[in-house]
Parts: sequence; C-alpha cells; structure tokens
Amino acid sequence: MENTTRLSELESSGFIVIPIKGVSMNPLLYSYTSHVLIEKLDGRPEINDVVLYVRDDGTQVLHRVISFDGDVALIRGDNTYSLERVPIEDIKGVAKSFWRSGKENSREISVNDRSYKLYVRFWNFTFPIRKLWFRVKNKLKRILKKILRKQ
Amino acid sequence: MKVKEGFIIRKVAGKYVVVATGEASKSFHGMVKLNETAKTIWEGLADGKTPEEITEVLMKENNAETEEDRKKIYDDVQSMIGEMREAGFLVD
Repeated sequence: MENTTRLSELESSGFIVIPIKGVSMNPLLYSYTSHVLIEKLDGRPEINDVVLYVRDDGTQVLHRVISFDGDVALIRGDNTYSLERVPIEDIKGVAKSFWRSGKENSREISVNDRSYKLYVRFWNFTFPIRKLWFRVKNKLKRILKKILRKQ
Repeated sequence: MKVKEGFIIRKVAGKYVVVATGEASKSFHGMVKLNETAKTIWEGLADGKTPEEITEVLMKENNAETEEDRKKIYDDVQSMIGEMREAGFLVD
C-alpha cells in the first residue's frame, strides 16, 4: 500500500487518478463525484485535450486546451467562459479517461470513445450560444436585483 | 473494523488504485496503489470480513496450504491493517 502526492506520483508512475473539486468542468465532470485518469504529458498536448496544469500560486487545475499561441496554450473549463494563457511547460498531465459518477461500478469513459468525442464537438460548437446566454442571464440577474432593491 | 465510507477501488491499466469520493474526497486528494494481495485485503475489510477470513481467501487465491503459509499471510494481513489504520482508512 502506497499513498503519495499527485505530482510526484505522476512523475514516478506516469499516471494518477484524481477526484474532481469544483464546477468548472460541468457537465462532463462533477465536484466530489467524478474521477479522472491522468497520464504524464509527453511532448505537447493537443487541441481539445483536458490537461492538468499548475498555476503560479501552486493551484492544480484541470481544464481543456482550446488553441495555441506559440508555446502558450489557451485553456478553458467546459463550464467557464474566459481563456487562460498557460505556458506548455506548466502542463503536467493529460486526461485519458473519466468516471463521471463516484460509484464503484461507474463506467470508465475513454477520451477515444465516440460518445466523448461527440460531446466535445457539441460543446465547442455551442460555445458562442452558451456564452451569449451566460451574459444575458447575468444581465437579467443584475436588473432583477436593482428592481428588488428599489422596492 | 471496516474501511471508512467514501473510498473506492478503480482498476487502471491492470493496476488497482483507491481514490476518495463524496465527503471523503474533500480531505483526501491522493491515491493509494494496491497490488493483488492488498486489493483482496482492502475489499475484505470493506465487506466486513475478519483478518482470519481474509487470510483464508488469500490462502485460496495463492493455492497456499501449509500452516507456515497461513502464518505468513496472516502477518501480511495484520501488517496492512496496521498501515491502513495509521493512514486513517479504518473505523472500528
């Protein structure tokens, strides 16, 4: 039995399985429920890869590569709307499969599965509509708050 | 003695790892690697089996027959229980 920290384990074994914390990868992954198998990054990641990277403050984040600007990856969570610039050298691993539910018999979904590839295409395709809806929703919330405050 | 709730075994490329889920994943972010024997012990404890019962399962799995084998396996089971207790994976 061997209990290790994430990054050292990723470095020595070449893979890690981690639980998800946060909502930024909804609806693919859920907080304190889903697990992800991550393999050590060998070379450059590819567009649409879900990658594990480390921010300057040491926070470990799991988001999706949208595009590249030289040696910088432009990265976004499936449930977020702004891009983060991440130097490729800060990317430590790439997701290879997911268990969405926290149950023992949860199905392992590989990044090569047809259903997963379809999800990625659909999610990317609908991004402009989702972003617009996100903005409208926030504006409506602000207006509603103002109205309620006046009463 | 039982394994705390919120720990599940995932099989990855022929290897077994234990990860936390639900409430347990708020405090445990790591992963525990198990070999075949350790997996049998972990599962046995999760099912509420006693160290003696787990020893018998391992005797069968390893085609072991002698009393010497039984003693060695029992010692391994107890040693892993000690490690699991120390790491906070067990409740009484």
